Amino acid sequence: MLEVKNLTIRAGDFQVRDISFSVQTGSCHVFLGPTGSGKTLILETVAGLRLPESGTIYLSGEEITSTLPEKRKIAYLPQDLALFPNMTVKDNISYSMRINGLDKKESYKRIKSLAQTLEIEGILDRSIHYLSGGEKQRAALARALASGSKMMLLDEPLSSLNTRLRRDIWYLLKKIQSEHGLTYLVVTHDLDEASFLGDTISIIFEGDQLQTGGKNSVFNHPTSIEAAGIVGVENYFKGVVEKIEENFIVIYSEEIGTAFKVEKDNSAFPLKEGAHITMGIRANNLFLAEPDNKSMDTNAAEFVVEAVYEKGSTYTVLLKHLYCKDSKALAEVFKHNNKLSFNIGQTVKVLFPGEYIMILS
Amino acid sequence: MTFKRVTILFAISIVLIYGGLILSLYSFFSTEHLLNMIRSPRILYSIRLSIAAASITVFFSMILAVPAAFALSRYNFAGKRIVDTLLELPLFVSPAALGAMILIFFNTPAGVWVQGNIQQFVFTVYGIVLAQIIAVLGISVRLVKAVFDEIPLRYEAVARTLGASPFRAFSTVTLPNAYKGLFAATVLTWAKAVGEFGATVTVAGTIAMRTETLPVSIYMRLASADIEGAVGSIIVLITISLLVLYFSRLLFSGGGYVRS
Repeated sequence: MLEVKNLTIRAGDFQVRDISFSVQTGSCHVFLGPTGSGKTLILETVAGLRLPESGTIYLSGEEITSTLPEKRKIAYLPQDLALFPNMTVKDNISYSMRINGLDKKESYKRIKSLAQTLEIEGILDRSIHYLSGGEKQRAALARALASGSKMMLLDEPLSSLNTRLRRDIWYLLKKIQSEHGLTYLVVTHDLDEASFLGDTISIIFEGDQLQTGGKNSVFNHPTSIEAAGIVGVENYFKGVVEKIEENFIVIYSEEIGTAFKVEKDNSAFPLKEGAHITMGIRANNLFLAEPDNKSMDTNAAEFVVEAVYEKGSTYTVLLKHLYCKDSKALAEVFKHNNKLSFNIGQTVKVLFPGEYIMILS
Repeated sequence: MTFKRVTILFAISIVLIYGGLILSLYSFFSTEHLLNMIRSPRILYSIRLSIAAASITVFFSMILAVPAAFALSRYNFAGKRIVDTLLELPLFVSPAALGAMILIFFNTPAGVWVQGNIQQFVFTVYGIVLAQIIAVLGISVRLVKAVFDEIPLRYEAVARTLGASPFRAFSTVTLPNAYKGLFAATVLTWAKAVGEFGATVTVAGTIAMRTETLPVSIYMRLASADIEGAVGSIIVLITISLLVLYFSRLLFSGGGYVRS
């Protein structure tokens, strides 16, 4: 288990402040946040490549805050993988074994087994200059695994791959994680990647840890507008708490011109009647219907279609409130579920389901 | 005229300047004199001395430059800026001034002790090597630092997480990846040392067949109005330097080409 407590790291004028998290053995913790938010600094500090200003790091109960990187047994895969250009794939993989004086027979056996697992038997003698993106990923993973480290730090290692290859490597990462009992610490700004690989997630924004928790909890219940933006919440509306009931909160939004019934659990903090709050809802949680649809009368408002974009199996619909022109919404609708035709200028009824509305501040 | 053509024109004009200077040697050139000169023990001694002194200079310069350049490229330490500035000393202080500073040092109690107990430098071949090292060291550190700056720090970082000590990471990853650049830096340092005159002549003097490197030989021949001899020495010096530079480029050719 990796445990990080109150880590503060400085890099020039930039500072990452008071970071705390723990990662269970065999699980994957993801750092999600925009570029330049300090995610890589955290990874480098856990790897031992950077000393923190304050805070402590424990690995399997042992404090390693100032332990040298070569003594930590934590493998690190930077964004560009840093395969050694002066070596073949095989030499890259066997690097840690040569450094640690492993017997040649044992080393050969390990390379063979890793090459089989990662399906790179055919490229072992190739120079790394002649590898494709996917082959490089596999070679770098094999090199990290060969070191025997059970903890692997992955710093956006898949960012240069196309979608299909990226998915292939996700499955591969999951497979080797269960086969080798690996613990991952992953840095990414890709929501799909975070959602696929992560068991727990920390949201990092401008050097601050906005939120940490289980994947579903962080994705479904972001606790701030910044965190909601990072986990992909597209729609925000201001409102005032009108009434607090046993299971529901009634919020009136002047900009939508309607009252919303929101589940009480969707607020991460206690609310008082009269409090001004911001609500958020994902584009794919909005329902669109004909304006005369009587079954959608609560939590609903009329909008006008402003633009429609086709994106694979979905339509992305940009909506403008029928009366309050400053109020806009973005809806994502599956093509095969949709009976509406979206014509620009057409009025539609938009349903904001109470269970999906997040109370952010 | 396109930007590309203008820049190429500038490159060609530089070739014309140096080419013109080389061609002007032809006015005082005599093949017979050159052939006789190359066979003379004096010029052969100068060639041998120049090559040997520059090679020893390069050896010691690189031994000092590689770790120093690595430190400047990779680490932050107290006084780094001062070291960085002092490295440019040979660039803005004339070689004669550097030579004079060496002579002055050997007149201090520490210098006298060194000359008396370790090695006599002034007016000896050792003085040539010392003067050349002082004159080229700053430049060779600059060149080697530029090579290390080009090698991403991440290679060493990954090597260390794989179990390598800082020295193992340097010797197994950084150094092998820097060899082309280090070779180029070595050749340029050597070429600079072979042509070094100001510091050499101040420390080692102009003693024929003793401290007479090729640049010193040119000076001595000019001083005695032996223009043909000076031209011969210049041709030998240029030929040696150009051959070394050309073959080193040939050995590690490639790169540096950007499509317009």
